[in-house]
Amino acid sequence: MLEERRFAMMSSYAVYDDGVLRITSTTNPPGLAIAGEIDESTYPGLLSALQRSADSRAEIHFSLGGLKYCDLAGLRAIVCATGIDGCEGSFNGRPGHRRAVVLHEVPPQLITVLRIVGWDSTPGLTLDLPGRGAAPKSVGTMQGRAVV
Amino acid sequence: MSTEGTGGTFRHGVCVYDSDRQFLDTAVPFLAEGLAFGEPALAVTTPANLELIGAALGKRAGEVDYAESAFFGRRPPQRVAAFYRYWRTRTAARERATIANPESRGIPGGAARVRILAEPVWAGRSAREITAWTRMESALNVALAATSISMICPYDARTLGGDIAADALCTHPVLVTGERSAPSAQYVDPAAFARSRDAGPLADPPADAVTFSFNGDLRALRRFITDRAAEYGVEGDRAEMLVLAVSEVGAYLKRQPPGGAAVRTWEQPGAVVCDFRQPGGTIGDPFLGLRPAELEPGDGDGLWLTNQICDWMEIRSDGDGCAVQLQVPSRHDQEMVAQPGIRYPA
Repeated sequence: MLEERRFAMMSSYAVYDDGVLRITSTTNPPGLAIAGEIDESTYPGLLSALQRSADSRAEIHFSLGGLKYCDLAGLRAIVCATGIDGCEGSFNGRPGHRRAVVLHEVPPQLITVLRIVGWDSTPGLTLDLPGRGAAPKSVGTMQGRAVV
Repeated sequence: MSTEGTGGTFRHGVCVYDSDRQFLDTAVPFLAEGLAFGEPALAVTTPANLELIGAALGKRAGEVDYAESAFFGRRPPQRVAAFYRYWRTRTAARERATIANPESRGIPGGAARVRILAEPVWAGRSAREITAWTRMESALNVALAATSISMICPYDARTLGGDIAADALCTHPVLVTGERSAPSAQYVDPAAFARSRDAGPLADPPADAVTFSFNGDLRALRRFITDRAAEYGVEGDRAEMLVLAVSEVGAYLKRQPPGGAAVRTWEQPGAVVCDFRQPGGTIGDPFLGLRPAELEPGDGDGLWLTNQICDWMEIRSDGDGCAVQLQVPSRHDQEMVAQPGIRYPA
């Protein structure tokens, strides 16, 4: 059942492709499949694709399984698709427009980076992690008393 | 994240003690007062001192968050990040609670304070590590300036060697004795202190170091370090994280005139080293890579991530140019095998 649900995103057309970064629009669920490498040279392409695809939606899904490299600025732009306060200067979405962002097939090193920088607990962001059951689980920040 | 002019109220005191009684005379009132005010309170100290605090606070001890010093930030940059993470999560939780129940305790008109008792580990450290931890104590005054943390750092004079206690008076603006606080006359401006500790040169690359000429092409730099990691036997997630750390340094140096750098890698006992030298370049910020990254972009965020990933990141800048030197564990490291989350949050 899990395999059936994971990852049945239907790709439609490329919204950005410079040979290094390829971003494809997906329809079911609605979102983007992001593949290749994100650094400062491809960052403008990522931003323009995010703005065109995410601006009016209440929920957007990103498939990151094909992402070979993503720097911190690129990861920030993806997280900031939530429209959360504090993203000013990064993803220039419609001011004050919050949306749910679900990340699928997140490469392990990006999960590590999200945890290091603490963005895994961003309100509105959900990581669809393997082995967590069929439904995406929100990542919480509940802590025990020991904070090691 | 910029820390200047952000209205933070970070307080940073040192308590040099030479008996259990003296330790408790400062630690217990500091933590108990925080609990009485409904403030989050964290004790980071030795197991022996945690037991002393637990016994002295009695039932209230269960309300204190705690961590053993050795495991709360393995290296200075991770330590700064751990303090910041604690402050951010605890203040966010408090905001949520206040919104849910406006009558709940809080400080009217002021930011919620977070108390941290933070005793560094000094025993067994190398001279290089003592310098790094001392430098961090000073840098906390800048890196955490935007927070509302009240921090007291106990230093156990019974075990301290060398100049550690004397340096503590230079790195903390406040001296705490019992419940009394006074300004430290020896306190040194953190930027000046950092520069004094960065005076020594970085290790020179050995003759057999492998060299790459970085001209701004980050993909080529990543291919180079990927190949080098494989050559050194650094594999899997460790290799991916090394590539990320190195690429973020490349991205930063690319933005600094004149751009480009000579990149050299080598292996030494316990570490793979990656060294960037940029003739004519300048890095003026002594706290680069220590200010925690946030969703709002800040200068040096990428180097903050590099600093979190690596065991060492050292930066030098002088009239000839600037240099950044990184170290990650070699393939022989067994800590991450035994305890996968020891370097990064699991």
